[in-house]
Amino acid sequence: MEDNRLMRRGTVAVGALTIIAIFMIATTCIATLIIEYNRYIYNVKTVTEKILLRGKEEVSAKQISEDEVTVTNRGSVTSLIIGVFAVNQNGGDIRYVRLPTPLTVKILSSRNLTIPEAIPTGWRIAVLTAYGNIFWEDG
Amino acid sequence: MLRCRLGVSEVLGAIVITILVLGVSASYILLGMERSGGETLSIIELIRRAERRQNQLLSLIYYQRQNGDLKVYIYNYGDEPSTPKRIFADREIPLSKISIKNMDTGDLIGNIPPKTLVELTMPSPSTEDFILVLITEEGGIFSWKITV
Repeated sequence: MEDNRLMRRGTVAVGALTIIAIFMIATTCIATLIIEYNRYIYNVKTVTEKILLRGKEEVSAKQISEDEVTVTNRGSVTSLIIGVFAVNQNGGDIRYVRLPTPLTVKILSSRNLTIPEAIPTGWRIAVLTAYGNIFWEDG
Repeated sequence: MLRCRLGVSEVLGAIVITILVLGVSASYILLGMERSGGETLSIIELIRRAERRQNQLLSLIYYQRQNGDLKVYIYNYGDEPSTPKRIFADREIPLSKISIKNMDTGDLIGNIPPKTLVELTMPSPSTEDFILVLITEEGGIFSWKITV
């Protein structure tokens, strides 16, 4: 009689433990999925914002001397100039100068940019922004 | 008359049943854990792959035809590197005929790192107007209309 009771208790305990284990596994799986999915949604939001801001950029550049360019922000978003791209229209040579520190140009403002390597004035120059836009020198 | 009773005692029976129940439960849990774990991992892998694909943002900066080659300048403004898998111009261009140069360092590299401008050199297509399609190993598809 006592043995039967013990056996029943043991079986109940094992059953309870099994249910708890299954519940914990399911919870862990669902929680992991929710965390990953939330990260993905945040990432989609960030990328969408980046693409939207990219479309709002509008910058003009004017070469002043071989190592100086004036950059004017005419867009509706602050631009970060990361480099100067230049093309020799006669020979087709390309020169890309990455700025050691990106230059921030706020909305409706102008800033002078010093190029670490001189670019001959006859070359066509452009500025490259952190959003991947390229803006060529006027004219 | 005293009869001899052969068999297992109730205590032993209880122990055997308990061991059986424990064994079956453990194997069921382990099997379920393995299956659900595997499925969860594959869903996570799918989500992460989509995330990597999403983070690839390539921008065509400039292109020109030079000495029979087409030079394309691409800037990766995303957060993930992009590894070219297939490139199409007027036809598919074998990857062996393509070189990628990091414009910051001048080194030849195998992919387009994030926040980097690269020069992609490939044999120039015979047509003047074509659509350049770049498919990356990370699942990104980019296309640009090019007139040289």
